Parts: sequence; structure tokens; C-alpha cells
Amino acid sequence: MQLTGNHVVEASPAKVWALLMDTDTLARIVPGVTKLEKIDDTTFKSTLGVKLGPVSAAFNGNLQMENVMEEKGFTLKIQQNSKVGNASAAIEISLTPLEETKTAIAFNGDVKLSGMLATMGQRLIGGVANTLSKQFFSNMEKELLP
Amino acid sequence: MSTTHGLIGKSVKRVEDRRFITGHGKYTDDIILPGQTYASFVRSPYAHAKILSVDTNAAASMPGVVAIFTGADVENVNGVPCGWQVNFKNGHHMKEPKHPLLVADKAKHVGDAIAIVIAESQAEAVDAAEAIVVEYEELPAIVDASKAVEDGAPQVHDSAPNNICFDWALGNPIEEVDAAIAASAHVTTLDFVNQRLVPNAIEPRAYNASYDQYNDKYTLYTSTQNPHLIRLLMCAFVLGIPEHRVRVVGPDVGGGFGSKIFHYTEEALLTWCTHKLRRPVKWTSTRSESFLLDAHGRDHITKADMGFDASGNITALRVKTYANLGAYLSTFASCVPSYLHGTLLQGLYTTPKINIDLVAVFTNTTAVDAYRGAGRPEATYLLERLLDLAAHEMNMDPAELRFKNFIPPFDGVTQPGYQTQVALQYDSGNYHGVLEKGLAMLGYEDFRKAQKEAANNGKLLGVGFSTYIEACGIAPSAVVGSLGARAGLYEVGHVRVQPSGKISVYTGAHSHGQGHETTFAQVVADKLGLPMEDVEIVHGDSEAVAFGMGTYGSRSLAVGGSAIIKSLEKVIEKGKKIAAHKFEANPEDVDFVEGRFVVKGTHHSAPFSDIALRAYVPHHYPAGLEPGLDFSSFYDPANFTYPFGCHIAVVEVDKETGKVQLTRFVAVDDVGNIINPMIVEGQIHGGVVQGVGQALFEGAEYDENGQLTNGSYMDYCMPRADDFPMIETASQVTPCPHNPLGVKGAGEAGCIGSTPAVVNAVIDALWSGGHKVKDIRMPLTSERVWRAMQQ
Amino acid sequence: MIPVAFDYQRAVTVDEAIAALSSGDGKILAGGHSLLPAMKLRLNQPAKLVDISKIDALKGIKEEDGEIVIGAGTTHGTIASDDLIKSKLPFFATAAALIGDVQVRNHGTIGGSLAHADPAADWGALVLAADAAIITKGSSGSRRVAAVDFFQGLFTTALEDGEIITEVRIPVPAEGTKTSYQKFSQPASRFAIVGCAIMKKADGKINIAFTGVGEVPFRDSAAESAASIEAAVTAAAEGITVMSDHFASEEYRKHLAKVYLRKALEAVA
Repeated sequence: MQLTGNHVVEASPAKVWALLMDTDTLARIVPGVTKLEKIDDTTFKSTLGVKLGPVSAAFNGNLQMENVMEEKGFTLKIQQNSKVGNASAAIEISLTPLEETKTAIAFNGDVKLSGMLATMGQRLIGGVANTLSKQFFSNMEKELLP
Repeated sequence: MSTTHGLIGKSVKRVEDRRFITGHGKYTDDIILPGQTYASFVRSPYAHAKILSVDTNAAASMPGVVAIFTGADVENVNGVPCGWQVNFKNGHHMKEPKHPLLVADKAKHVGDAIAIVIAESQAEAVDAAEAIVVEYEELPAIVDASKAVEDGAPQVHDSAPNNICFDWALGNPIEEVDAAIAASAHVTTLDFVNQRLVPNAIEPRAYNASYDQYNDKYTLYTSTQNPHLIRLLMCAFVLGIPEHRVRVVGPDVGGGFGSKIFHYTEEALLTWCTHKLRRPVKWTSTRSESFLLDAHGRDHITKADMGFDASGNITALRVKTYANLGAYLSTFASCVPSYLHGTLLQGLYTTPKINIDLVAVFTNTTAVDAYRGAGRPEATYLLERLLDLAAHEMNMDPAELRFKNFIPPFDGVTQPGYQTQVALQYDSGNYHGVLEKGLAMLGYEDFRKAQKEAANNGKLLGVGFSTYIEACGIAPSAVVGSLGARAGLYEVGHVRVQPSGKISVYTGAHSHGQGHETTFAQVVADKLGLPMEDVEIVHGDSEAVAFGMGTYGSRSLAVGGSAIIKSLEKVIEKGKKIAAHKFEANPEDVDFVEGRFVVKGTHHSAPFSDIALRAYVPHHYPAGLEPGLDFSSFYDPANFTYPFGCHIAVVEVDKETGKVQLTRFVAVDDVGNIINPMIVEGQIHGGVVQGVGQALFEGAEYDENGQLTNGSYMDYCMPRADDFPMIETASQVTPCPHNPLGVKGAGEAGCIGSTPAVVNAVIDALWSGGHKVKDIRMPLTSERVWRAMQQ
Repeated sequence: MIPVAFDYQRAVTVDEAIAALSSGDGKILAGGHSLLPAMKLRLNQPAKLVDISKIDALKGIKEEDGEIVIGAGTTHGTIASDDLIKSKLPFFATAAALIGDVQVRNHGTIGGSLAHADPAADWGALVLAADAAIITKGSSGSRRVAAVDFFQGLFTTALEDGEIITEVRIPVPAEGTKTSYQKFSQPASRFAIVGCAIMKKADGKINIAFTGVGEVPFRDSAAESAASIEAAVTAAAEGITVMSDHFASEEYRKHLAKVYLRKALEAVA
């Protein structure tokens, strides 16, 4: 499934970049994170709890950043496994400065589901992805509040 | 023989329904054996993935766990076999990659089994299976059969280059067909998909295997359509156990539709496990597993060209089909798109040149095999869609076009059978008759008027035709043997007359919804002049029934019924000898009339029960005649049977939404002689609903990663009663000339005839509104129809 | 088809249910028609189920203080055949009769459906169009939440942890009010691909609400303020994220929303 969107936040690219690069902040921004552990500069081990409607599942896996371009963007590779199926994604995230304190964050990528999630989720997956990305940005905005 | 008793042709109520309707059927899952254990599987969530590791440690110590086996444990056990060998055009054998009981190295479709957990309870087995950790490396998957043959496509099996299992052709030389098409005044071309269907029997597959070590005897209870065939395949090809050590029982079975013909890995694996554990092992599929594992049906991608001369006579038919076999070769997967599909492309028409070119392809999807109709619905869909479309394109009437091209009537007795261009010889037919009857039932001329009027008022009504033929009563063993079948397709019928004159009949056919316990008893009671209560029909147990090939391909009555008739003839012949001795007459002078042995021209007669008793108490008995009245017969048919019919659908299409409402359905079927009209009508109703299901509602949807994305009833749409008008049925009877009952078979007819009629009706409705649409992909969801109208 | 082991507690009063929910990872079991399948597929693994299906206080339909009060535990089947509903809120009866099948209607409850907040469930559009209030109760007491504030996102409502829905309260419509519910069903599940609920008040003001179209049921204010049926249809379902699945793409779903709005508007014209 294609995951595409963009969002404008009231902060400079440098500030947004700093947030995304900080493990503790990231753990607060990414929806459902219960544990985020930095393995090396670009790899994190994660535990996520997703509770939405009929689904309540724990995911374990990795988040990995590739093609990291300081303050410009990176590709986020996600591999998350659960007992009801696995999710993997490669999402390009790019930051574009709009004004001094405004940044457009665009994301574009492909999400793959497997197992029960793929079988049962086709009706809802678009909405779930939307909801989770909305939460991500709303969490980020909370972090950016002075 | 007497048929005056009159049970044949009566709509007798089904004797099995008392236990089914009151919930007292006994299915495999109802069987609990002493020391019972329960199995659950770890299955691949990926369509194509290397298995890097399987960690069973945590699961092994969980409560109730008895054993865990993985692919490594069964590496030296054979895989499940394919029962029909088809050769490449160049004569090489088809590719038969191993279908292992558990995969060790690579998963090839979602649901491929990686490990089995056996525990004291089902819940404990499921919990432990969830605790097994498998590490995968996901590989690119291939789903589409026509793309799978391209260079560079992901390879399902290393041993099958370009994923090709076999290629195959049938009919007239392609050069002749090409030339005939090129010389045609009009050519109708259709590129289409006959989509993949999930069988959805109401009872999920279930197996219960046990082993008695003291008698070295296995028992397998299985939800199968053919217990003896499972025993044969499992013993001879997979486990190497002599078959006299194995009893296979198919108890009550809740529907099959083909999906329970096949020998599945779980049957053999549970049997293997019970030998290791010395305890019975049971597994019942979940509905989610059924969606992923029960062999699917159809899945053809086809391009077909039909040529016509200037007055509408068919000149030639050229077909190119990619058949998706899924990840593994299921038991009859190879013969369905070839010998059960290509051979039916003559249809009811005098087409002089026909060629089919077929490529059978592996993909990372669930195996595809026979599903109600098996190949014949695909052939019928192809032909009947072409006929209606050609009528639109040539501005001819679709019924007229059919009448023009029908094979003339022939009875197969005084007139010979009809030799087709594609290897079959039709037994008997009157194709004009069923269409004429259908048109009359519909009120065709009135409908066309109403359609015009509706179009003027902005409403879209359409009518669609389908005049089909199928090959049933499979099959002459020598014929199918020459085509690659690895088994004979005769049937066994054993009639045991008890000393009291009551009858036990043991048949190799298996009833899983067909009502054999009624129909077969009707035949036997009628022939012996006995009440039906005096006859019991025993089926489904390899220990009770000598042998049998089972029930599929609408064969039970035509083949299994004929075997019973053969045994009945032997019973009566011997009875005449016993009666002749009693009355001091010659056996040639004894008739059997309405249940009595009668000495011709005398008042001497004895009831059947009297002669039966004499056979078992042979105090006054013919010299040299063995006691007892007990005969078994094998019947191997001389030919296939060829039921045919005419299905007409009427639909209304909502202009704004594209929603299709089926408003009438007329089915005139000729299934030969009819034993129980109510059961035949029920079979037609069920078949029609299933066929309309394909046209309007059903279809497996895979994403590009090989995930089945509609694997539940939330998204996979089954047809429901409120989607249907009352189905209007009628019969025409053209007896089969080559079997003793003159029957042809009714189990698949409805499903074969109905699908193209509905799609044709929707296309007709669209043409009536000026939308000259050639094809809409099935199922015809509202959106697809709406989109077709937007073009 | 076997859920993970869980505790089960049957509550006979609302307070007992709330107390039971206050400890541990509990879920409410009402009709169970969404929850139990998810549990059997192990998509959801609550540690405890609190069964409220035997709480009589949650059942029934009555008129009280100028409002029609539907107990949260009232089944769709009861609503479909209730005389008060049929006379005062006929579109509630229409909608109830279109939910699932007979078995679902005889088990599933209005409160369960609202709390689950499936984006394609029928009741969302109905309570929005009828200006209903959802009454909730938790350990800190009762709250009255307007329907427009209740649905907050996909499967997300204003319900807080430990709260349950006790009632749905709808102002008794004035004489001359007309209603309509028009639904295009998903053929497999019979959930709404598009459900359009309309209440046309005596003063001519029209409430328009959709379910199945977006990620959350919504009042379509642009369509409500349009001057004609044509203008309302043009304005409908614009500017929202429209869902897409096997049965209806975004484009087709939006088209259906307009078609079904027209049907509904014509029905109350």
C-alpha cells in the first residue's frame, strides 16, 4: 500500500531534524512506542503497542534510517513483527524549509502487511495509516510547543 | 428388470435430513478418540520467503505440549502426489516439484506449514504454536500466471524454469485454425480473466488419525469426498504403508465442491505423527486456514478468437490460456485446465476448427484444483461469452445465432454420437430443445419489448444466454489412463441381501450433500420392488466398502449407480435359480416382477424375502449353487456422459450506481433420466447460486506480495438468498444411451451454465443503454459495472 | 479460532460493570459481534471481559423529558421493531433493519456499535443527524456527550478508559419532521459503503450525516447549508479523506455519497 502525505510544522528544519534524531523524543512521537533502543547511529530496536478498533497487538522490530541527508531527509525502513502478522515499510521523508520557522515534511513510501493483518485489514489499512501519521504529527507538534 | 414399483422419478424426501437438520450428523470433528491429542500449525505469513531458523524451545516447554515437528523432521518423507500426469507439447513429463508435508527451507505461499504442534487440548496447541519463533527472509513473490512465465520473474520452484509446469495443445493444427480465423467475415475477440474462487465448504477440513500399535493398524477419519483414493495416494505415494494396515473413513462431510477430493499434506502428516506418538492426533482447519489452504478454483487468463462467416456460422475457435496452478501441484490440478477444459471447447456447436494452447503455471498462491465444474465452467464461460458478444457485434439475435450453430439432435442409439474436434464423442443430445423451452419460459419476445421500453425510460434491462454442455460420469479408465490419469475411474457397488430380505448396499461413491442415501435407495428399492426402508446405503468407510473412487465430476449415479445395478442384476439372476428350484421350473421360465419371482404362465410366485431366506438357509436348494445372496460389481463406463442445458438470466442494472439485480433466472437442464426430481432441482438451485456467485460476488484477491486480502466473510462475498429471485427450472430428458439408468449427472450443471448467462445479461443491459462494452471483469461489482458505463 | 485465555465477569448493574473495568486490561462484552471475532483471530487479547448483556437497566426504549431514550444495551432488532421508534424516529428503524443479518441484529447493540466506532457502522450517521447525545458513565460519574463531539477518529471516540455508554438520548422531533436513511451496503459484510441519514425539521432546516464515507461518521455542513438539492449533492463529501477498498474506490465512494444524498433528500422533500 502506498503511504503518501505531507504536513507543515511551525519550526525550522534544523529544529525538526534535531527532534527526529533524538531517540527519547522519537519514542514519544512515534505512535504506540513502548520501547525504543538505539543500536547504532541509524538503527533502533523497537517495541510498539498498536490499539485501534478491533486490533490490539504488540510489535517488535527495527527502525532503520538510510540515505541520511542532514536537515533534508532520510529513508525510514521499518520491519515490525507481531503474532498476527508483520509490517514492513520503506518511507522517504523529506524536509523542505518554507519560512524561517516553517517546515514542510513530506513522506512517501510503500507499506507491506502480511499474515492476518493483510487478510483482515484491507478495508481499514488506509484509515489506520492515516490515523497513525496524524498522531505522529500531532505528537511532534506537542514536542515543538515552547 | 421391473421398474413398475415406481420409486424412480419420485421426489422422495431425503432420508439423511433427519439427522442433519436436527444437528445429529457425525462429522470428523465430532469424533474424539481415547487419548486424543490436538494439532495446530505454524504457517508462513509470507507468500515467498526463505526460512532462516525455527525456534521451538519456548513452545516445547509450554503446558500440554506433546510434540513439535518441523520441516527437518519430515525431510525424508515423500510429498503429496499429483494424480494425473500431463506432458509438455514436446513429450517431456510435466514438472512435479515436491509438495512436502512441512517446509524446511522455503515457504512458497501464505499458509505454507512450517511446524506442527501437538498438545493435550486444542487451546494449548494454538498457544504453543504462537510461541514458536520463525525467522524469515522475505523474497519477491509472483501472483499473476501470465507474468510468471516472463524472464526475470520470481521463481517458485528451481526445477520449473519460468514457473511453467507444462504447456499443452489440443484440437486441429494451429495453422489450419489461424487460416480459418483469417478467412472469417467476422472475428470476435475476448481477453478476459476467469477469476480465482475459494471453495468455502461449510464444514472446514478436519482429520483425526490414530494408530493401534498392537495390531499395526492405522485409522484416519477425514473430511473427504473419496476415502479409498486418499488411502491409495497416502499409502502408496507418501508414507509407504501397505493399504491393508490403513482404514480410511469419510464420515458425514459438510460439502466439498471438489475441495475435498484432494489428498492434503495434513492428512498424511497427522498419520505420520500418530505413528510416532502412539496417540490419536486431530486437526480441524479454522476458517482462516480454509481460505488459505483449501485448493482454490478457476484462475485462468485467456485470449479467445471466434471466427464467423457472413451469415453467422462459426468458422473457427482459437484459445490461448494461462492457468494458475498455485504454488504446488494439487491432486488433479494438471487435468483441470487441460483435459477437463480444452476438451469441452466444441460446446454445442458445429465449429469445424478448434485449437487451444495452454500454459500451466506455478505462482506463490494457494494451489488451484477442481472446483464444482472443474474446467467445464471455464470452457462454457469462454464459449458463451463469445457467442453473446458476437451477436452484439454482428447485430444478430443471440438465440438465433445459437440455433444456427447447434449440432443437430442425435439420440446416440439409432444415430451415432457426435465426434468433436477436441477428442470427445458426445453421447446424445437435443440442444435446440432446451433453448426453445427456455425461450418459451422466459417469454423472450415480450422481454425484448419490455427491454426497449425500459431503455426509453432510462432503465437498463438485459438478458443473457448460456447453452452449455459438460462431460460427466468420469470416466472410462482406459481413456483417462491414456491421457495420464494415475488411477482408474470405475466404481464399486456391492449389494448384500440379508437373510430377511433387507438390503445393505455398499458404494464407493461418497455423499457429502448429494443425498445418495436417498437416491441410491430409491433405485435399489424400485428395482427389487421393496419399500425404501428395507434398503440401507453404506458409504465412506474403506473397511466396509471394498473399493471405490469417490464422488466428483457428477459421477455418482452414472458410474456408482451403474455398479449397483450390475450387482442387482446378479442378485436377481441367482434368485431366479433359487425360485426355479423351489417351483421345480427352469430358471429361464422365472420372471422377477414387482418384487416377486414368478413362474411364467403359472400362479406360482414367491416374494423376494422368501428367496433371500432360502439363499441363507439352503436346505432345499439347487445342486451346485453357492448359498448366500451377496454380489459386488465394478462398473467402468463406456464413455463420459454429456448433460447440457440452457440458462437464461435477466438483470436490471442501476444506471447511477452500477448495481446489478438479478430479476429472473431460467434453467432448463437435460441431465438424462431423473431418479429424484426434488434432489435434481436442489442440485440445480445450488449450482446456479454458486455460478451466479462467481459472476457477481466472489473472487480471491491477492495483492502483489501474494497476500490474500479478502480471506474472511467480511470481504469475501458469498451469494445469499436475498440476492436471488426464485429460480425457474425445467427438465428435458435425453437418456444417456450407454449406462443402465440412462442418467447423465446433475451435480455441476447449475454451476457450469449460470455464470456466463449473468455476465452476458449485464453486458446486454449496458448495450441497451448504448454502452458497447466487451467485457467486465468478474465478479461484476457495482463499481466495475459503473466504470464500464463511464467509458 | 481459539482466543487467548481471559477472565470473564458478568455484571448485573452498571456500577458493578464500571468497578470491574477499573482494574486490569478489561473490555466490555455487549453483543460481542465485533469483539469476539477479533479475539478468536487473536487480533485482540483482552485479559478480562466484562459482560454487560444481562444488565436490564441498559435495555429498552422510552420517552422521557422531551427525549427518546434508547438504552445502550438495546439490540438493533429491538430498535427495528419498536413502535415509539417507528413513529417518532422512523429512520432509526429503517437503519436498524439494514444492519448485518437477523442473528447480528438480535445480538448486536446500539451502544456496542457506537463504542466500537467502526467507520462503516450505521448508527454514527443516525445519531449525528438526530442531534443525539451519548450518555456515558465511569467511576467519576456520568457525562453527556453530543454526538458531534463523540466520534474523534477511526475507531476512536470520546469514551475514556473505564467508561461505558449507558444511553442514547434523542430530542423528540417536532411534528412535521421528516427523516430518511439511505444505504449502499458492502455486499459481503453488509456494513455501509455509504450511509446517508437525514433529518428535515419542521422549520426546513436539514441535518445531513454520512457514515462509511470517511474515516469517521460526519455531519456534512457544506451540504446542509446548500440552497438546493443540486447544490447539496455537488457540495457533499468534498474536502474529506474518503476511504477506499476492494468494493469502492475513493472516486466511486464519493459518487455514491452524492447519489445516496440525493435519494435521501428526495425522500424528505
